[in-house]
Amino acid sequence: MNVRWITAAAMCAVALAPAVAGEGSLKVYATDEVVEVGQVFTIVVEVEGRKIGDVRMPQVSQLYIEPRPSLQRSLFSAVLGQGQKFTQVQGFNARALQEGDVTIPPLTVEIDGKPVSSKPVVVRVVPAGAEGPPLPPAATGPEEDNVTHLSVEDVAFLRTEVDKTEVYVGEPVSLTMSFYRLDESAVRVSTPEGGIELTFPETEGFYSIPERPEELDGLYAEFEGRRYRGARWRQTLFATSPGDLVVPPWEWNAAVYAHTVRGPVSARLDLHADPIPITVKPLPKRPLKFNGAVGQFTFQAQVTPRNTTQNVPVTLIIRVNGTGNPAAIAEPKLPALEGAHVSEPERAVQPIMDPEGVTAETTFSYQVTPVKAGALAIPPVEFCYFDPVKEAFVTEKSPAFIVNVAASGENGRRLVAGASIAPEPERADGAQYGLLPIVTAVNQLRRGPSSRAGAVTVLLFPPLAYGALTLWTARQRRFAQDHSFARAYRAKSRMRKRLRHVLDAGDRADALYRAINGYIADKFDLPEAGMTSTDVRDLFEGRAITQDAAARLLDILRTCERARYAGETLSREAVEPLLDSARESMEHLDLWLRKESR
Amino acid sequence: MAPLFSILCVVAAVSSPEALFDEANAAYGAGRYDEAAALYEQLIADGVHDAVVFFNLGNACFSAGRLGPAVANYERALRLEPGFDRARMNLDHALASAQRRLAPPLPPWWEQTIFFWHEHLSPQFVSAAAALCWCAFWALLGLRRYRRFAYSRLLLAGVALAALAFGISAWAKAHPPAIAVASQERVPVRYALDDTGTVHFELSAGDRVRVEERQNAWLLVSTTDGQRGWTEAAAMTLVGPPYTPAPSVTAGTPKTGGAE
Repeated sequence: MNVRWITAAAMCAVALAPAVAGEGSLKVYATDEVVEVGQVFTIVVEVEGRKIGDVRMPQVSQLYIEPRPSLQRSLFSAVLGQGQKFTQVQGFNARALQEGDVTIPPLTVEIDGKPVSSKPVVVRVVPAGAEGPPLPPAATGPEEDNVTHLSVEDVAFLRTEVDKTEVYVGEPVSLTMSFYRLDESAVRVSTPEGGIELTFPETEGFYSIPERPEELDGLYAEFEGRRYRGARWRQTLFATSPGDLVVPPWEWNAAVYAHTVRGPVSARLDLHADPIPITVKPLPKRPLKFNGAVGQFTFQAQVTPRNTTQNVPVTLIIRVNGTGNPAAIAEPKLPALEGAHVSEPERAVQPIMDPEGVTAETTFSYQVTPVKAGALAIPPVEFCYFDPVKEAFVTEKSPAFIVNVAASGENGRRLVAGASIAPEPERADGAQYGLLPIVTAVNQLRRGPSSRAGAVTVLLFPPLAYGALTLWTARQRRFAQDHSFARAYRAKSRMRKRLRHVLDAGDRADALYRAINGYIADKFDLPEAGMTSTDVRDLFEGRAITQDAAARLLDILRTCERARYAGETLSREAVEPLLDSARESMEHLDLWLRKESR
Repeated sequence: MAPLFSILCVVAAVSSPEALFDEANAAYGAGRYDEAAALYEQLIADGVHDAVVFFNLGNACFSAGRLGPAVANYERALRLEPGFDRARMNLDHALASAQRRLAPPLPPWWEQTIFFWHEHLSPQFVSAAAALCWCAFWALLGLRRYRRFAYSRLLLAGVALAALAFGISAWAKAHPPAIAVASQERVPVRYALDDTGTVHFELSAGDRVRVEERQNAWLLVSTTDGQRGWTEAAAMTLVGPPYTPAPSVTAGTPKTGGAE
């Protein structure tokens, strides 16, 4: 509010400047004429002139006035024929220390080389109201050095505190986290991204109530003569298991922005509060009736109404009130009631955060339905908890209650459904009614899920089949389109086929010659007709085929040629070794050609 | 030789799943529910995972007064055959006699929103549909190599989408969320993994909870309303798979006569 107010004043001063352009002026006033003890208000100093000296605020015994202005605005205005004028508005925070009328003496400032004095300012200080903000005891005023030489670490800090560091499992620990920042309107603390969203430490190993720390009222505090504004959060922790636990360090990365006389400055600030070790002791040997609650509790029970009719329920309400984890309070066990049904309790928890920590009222409501007329006795209910202050288990006991039950004339018919502590056979029969019988006729019992191998097969077979089909199609297409490839591919099989018929042929030499020639022509995609052994030799030489197998084939070809040209018919015995040699040579040559990718 | 063959035949007949099933049914009919339950559990241990067996086992457990295992077995039957109305009705019936009607754990959000349609389909059906769509997709792809036909791309995309949807559905059915059923009248759930730890809340027989983690003999369970804590595995029946026998302790409902 002060910032807006001072800015408005500065604007007004500039607007009026031409009217008083002839001489400098000084005006001092307070933002509030009536203040409460402890209230902070601002003393505004407006100075106008071409050359303005230092403004020094006088000290008044009933007030604490900050020696440095919390905000400063400077404006220039041009006045026709008289050059520029300078208007300076400064706001000094002040706090009233005693009630009564306080007079701020005239302020003297040198303007344009001449001392100019202001009028005295009177502020009425009244007693502090009941709802005023909590303030530290009146300060005598900080040393100027403290304010002047303010370090970044002094601008803000974090604190974590616990009310105890040695507890039992489940015992409440009050954790208070405070964030203090300098109470200066010209200083702003926020996250580097803006805003002031604090992240709280993760309290692992504890059950926390509330889940997110609850913010308490703000407060003012004074540390090392500086005034701070604080924000506090509180959480109650319940250790869930024995051992050494730690409330982890609380860290927050902040940015500080400050308006100083030399202009705005900013700095990074890493705030840190130390970790707090907490020793958690196990509970002593528990009695059987231990309820699970740890803390300090009061226990009450009541039954309403005390008179009822058969089959009309009455309500037994058990209240457990106190400090401790309400979630750890188990439902009190009711003893078996003869002649009545007891429903499962309805549980209601009302946690209350008060200055002492978590206080909760846990209510258990049981519907007790008498089924017999007469006096229904509800025996005492016990509640056993562990009191960490007494370091002992405490058992509270409710009184016994008698409920008068009048006959209704509807024996056996239940009006209220609910679980019974002592179930009776009639209820069981009723529960069984409607259960559908077992299935006995089954064609075949299903085994467990199909094996993983089956699933993998189903998953992989189709794409593999598709891949195979694609490859086969591509091959077929190549056979159809690439004639030389097809000939080379089939050369071996064709030669084998031809060799099988050599022995049965009329001219065995010619048949063998054609078979070998045909293989070579197919393999290298050459015209078979007219090919001689010389052509084959040239071919082998040209392609650098120097294998023995090639040489042997060439020899066979020459033998066959000689026989053909001589008009001889080779005998079966003469051809057989040639055939074997041709087969072997062809296999070797084919293998070699494949290896060499020819 | 002949007597040995006869004995072998008798042993084979008695130990065959169908014979064991009939024997269990007979025990149930005679009111020997614990014996029937043991025989049904033997069948399951032998690898028979039939919804009918789980249903009958649920009836045997319920009639023997074991509400938690009964609920768990009805749940198992419904996981295998979501359209098994008899199991659903008996589950409702069993839960009606539970002390508290704790809301059952919900499936994950994506199953509730995207796969809402597979709730009533059995795992076998979605697996078969996934396999069929998968094979059809590749067959169509192969067919397209030979002959292009109208809307083949659209058809391929549709079949691929169906294969993907049924595949995810089959995976989800094969890996259902781990659910456990409280098998004792009162099952304490604690803050810490320690039987001396503070009790956070209690489960009643038949309460179904999600199992988030298992450490040795302890389960980290959570209810639908967000409460979580550690409980002893011995007090719970895991719905599975795998199908483990229910703990043989305490009673959730009274021992009563069966219905056949």
